[in-house]
Amino acid sequence: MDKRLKLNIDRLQQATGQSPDYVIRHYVRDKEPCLTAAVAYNANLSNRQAIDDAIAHMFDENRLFAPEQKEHHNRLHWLMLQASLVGSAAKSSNWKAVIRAVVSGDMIIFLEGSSEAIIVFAQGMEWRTITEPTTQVTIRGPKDSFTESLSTNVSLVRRRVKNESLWLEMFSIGQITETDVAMMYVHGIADESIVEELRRRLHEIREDGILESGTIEKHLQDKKLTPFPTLYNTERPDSVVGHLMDGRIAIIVDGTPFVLMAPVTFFQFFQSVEDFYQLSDIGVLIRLLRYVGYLISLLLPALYIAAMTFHQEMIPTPLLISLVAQREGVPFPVIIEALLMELSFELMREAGVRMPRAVGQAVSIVGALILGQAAVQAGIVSAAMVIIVAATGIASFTAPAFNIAISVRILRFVLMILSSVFGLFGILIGLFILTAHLSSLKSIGLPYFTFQFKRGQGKG
Amino acid sequence: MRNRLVYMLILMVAALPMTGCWNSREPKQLAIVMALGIDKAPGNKYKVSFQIANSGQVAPGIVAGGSTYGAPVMVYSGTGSSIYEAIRKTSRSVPRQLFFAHIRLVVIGESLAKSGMQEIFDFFDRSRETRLTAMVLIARGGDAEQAVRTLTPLEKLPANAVMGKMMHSSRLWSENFTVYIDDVINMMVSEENVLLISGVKLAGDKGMSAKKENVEQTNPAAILNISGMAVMQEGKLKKWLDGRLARGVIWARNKMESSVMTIDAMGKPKSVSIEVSRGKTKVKTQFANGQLRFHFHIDAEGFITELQVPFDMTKPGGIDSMEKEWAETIRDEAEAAIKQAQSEKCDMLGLGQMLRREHPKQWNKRKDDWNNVFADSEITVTVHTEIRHQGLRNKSYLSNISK
Repeated sequence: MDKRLKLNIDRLQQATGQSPDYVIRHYVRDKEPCLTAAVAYNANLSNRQAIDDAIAHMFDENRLFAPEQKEHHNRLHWLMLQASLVGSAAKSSNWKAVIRAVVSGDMIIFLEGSSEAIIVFAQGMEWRTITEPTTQVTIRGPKDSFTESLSTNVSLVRRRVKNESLWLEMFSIGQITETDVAMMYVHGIADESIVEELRRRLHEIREDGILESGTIEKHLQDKKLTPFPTLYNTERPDSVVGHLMDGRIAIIVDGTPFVLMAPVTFFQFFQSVEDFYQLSDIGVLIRLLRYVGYLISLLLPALYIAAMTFHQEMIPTPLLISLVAQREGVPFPVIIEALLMELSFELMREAGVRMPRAVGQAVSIVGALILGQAAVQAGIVSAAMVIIVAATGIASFTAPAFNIAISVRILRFVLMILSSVFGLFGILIGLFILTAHLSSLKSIGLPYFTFQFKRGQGKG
Repeated sequence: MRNRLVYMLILMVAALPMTGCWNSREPKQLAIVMALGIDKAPGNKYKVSFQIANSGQVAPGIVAGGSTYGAPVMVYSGTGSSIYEAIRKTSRSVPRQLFFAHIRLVVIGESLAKSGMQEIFDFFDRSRETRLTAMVLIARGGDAEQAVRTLTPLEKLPANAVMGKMMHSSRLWSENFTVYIDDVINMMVSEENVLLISGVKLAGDKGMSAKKENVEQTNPAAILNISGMAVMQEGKLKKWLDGRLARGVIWARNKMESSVMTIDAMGKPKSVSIEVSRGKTKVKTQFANGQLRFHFHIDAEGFITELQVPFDMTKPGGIDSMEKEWAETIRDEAEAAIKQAQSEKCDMLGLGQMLRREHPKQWNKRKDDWNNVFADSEITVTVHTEIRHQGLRNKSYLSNISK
């Protein structure tokens, strides 16, 4: 920082490429040039009302020219005092910090002849309001969800945990975006070594931009090449609090409503917070149902292929006759038929997600009619295969975490191909490798494929 | 890392024996054989007939552009010196690969049964495709091919139809019991080597049996009935058991599940119908100076289902007298069957097996001349019956009809 005001202002304008939204307001008194000051802020990021209030308060003539305020140092000190009354304020002589403040939406006050600037908090961006969760819907349970604002998100968690042991650490990640990232945990419950490990990994992230918590998740994973998610993400504050109580650590990223939780086990992806709001026996049974759903969506097409092409003796006679009858005019082998249908189902699902909502209906009509009925009537696929694909699809929707359901989408195809080549033996081989792979996975250094993650695990 | 690969490999190899067939077959290329008919062909050959499900005809619902013509089953026949030869020979006329894993029925022609059929079951025992739980029947008074060719109403697959008839008649009527391939093999390797196999008889216009019109009328011109039990001694058909004799054997062998018996009351013969709801037969063996004695005790429970005389069951002793009458009837049946078996020197009661299990030493002494020993042994029967209830009425309305 330079003592000369003009140089500082020029430097700021040069750094921002004279972008017009960086507003610089000059306060000039001809009689007393030593009192010349300038205020800089970003018109799009700052709260205009707060800035005007602060300026009106700080540069009030009567107070500013009180006889005792002669020295520059004193004047800066005095301005600082005034600023603190309006909002949070800080002094800084570090040019980087000053720039960082102004690009975050704070207001900077430069004074002629002072190598320090005052940073007044004036961030005031528009955020989406708190709405109902859209990806993790529950019937019973709180209806708020995280937004894109980090501070809103932190407040949603803090509001639920009125305890000083809920600790928060801030990180700034991303060489260009300098995204704010908060790590929250309950001190005393969370394992200190895991907190340390996470801190280390967060510091190590070298990335230009953090767009979403997914970018961070990639860097926090233990093993990169796996279809299984090793960090849990949620947009429900109640879910985050539940995990915090179990000793897990939340990572909140500015700009996304999805909060990361770590470390987690495979089986926690099948929990829905609602399980804890229901009677426990119902919750347990429903969770079992989800496991079954997961297995169905993983294995059903593969089992069908294996039974139809290798183990016809395993199918009850009337069912076999009915299945064979349905396949009478189908020109493809079972595996081709299955791949065809599964692929078109995946396409349909993808189309349904990406389509603008107005066109979404067309997708379902085309999907239901063309893929369902017409394909069967035309004799291209059998009705049984449509049922298998539909059952698989429905079962895959039961997973409460979307990313665990994605893992199955890939593995299903692998198992289908294995079963078409080796029958049940192929499925068995696939499951062997899958289990071995799952057992080798770790979530922030803790075993992933285990039931045994307990509160405060690893503390003793 | 290397260790892991080795473990993985060991696991995979260990899983190999757990799997089924290795070769992949598209279901479209399979001809699902439902029933097999085996007949004697000239020149010491076998004629094997395959009843193949025409799945497009059998299965309801959507058939993906498939064929729906033809009868629900197709029957192909082939001859050969062995069953397997006949099967492979038939592939010349069947457009698909014959698939035997779903065989439900094996019908054996009477002439083959008469001349001996011990050899034919080796194929079923050996093949990895066939299952030993297929039912075995003998085509009474005809050849197996004709029985297998017959179309049946109500049940589209004749194999299923015959199976259903067999199951129900053995459960509800008890003049037969069901025999599967493994039973047949087990009986044949036992020393007494006596086998009871139910018969299936084609009644009516035999020429019509294989035609589709046969099942398109309320009164099918030709119909397959379960009929009697064939007594096979040493693999050869010896005689047919029917009616009372058959049921007597069922009683003696403790195979009674349920049946209907009619007894006399108030001087009117066969005027009371009793449904047998439970029948249990225990056999005791005694040895008295080298003489073998068997004692059958039959415990039967049942209830009255029909009364054609104004019999008053509320009267003291009314039920008792009926129970006594019923016990008498059962004893007559059982004794008749026993007498028949003894006079034929054919242990159709399964006493040899029982003796072998319970008194192996005694059995070893007698097994060489078992048929004669059996014929000379002394057999007594006692029966205890209980009538549990008499339906919704104590007194029949018949007793209120003024004469």
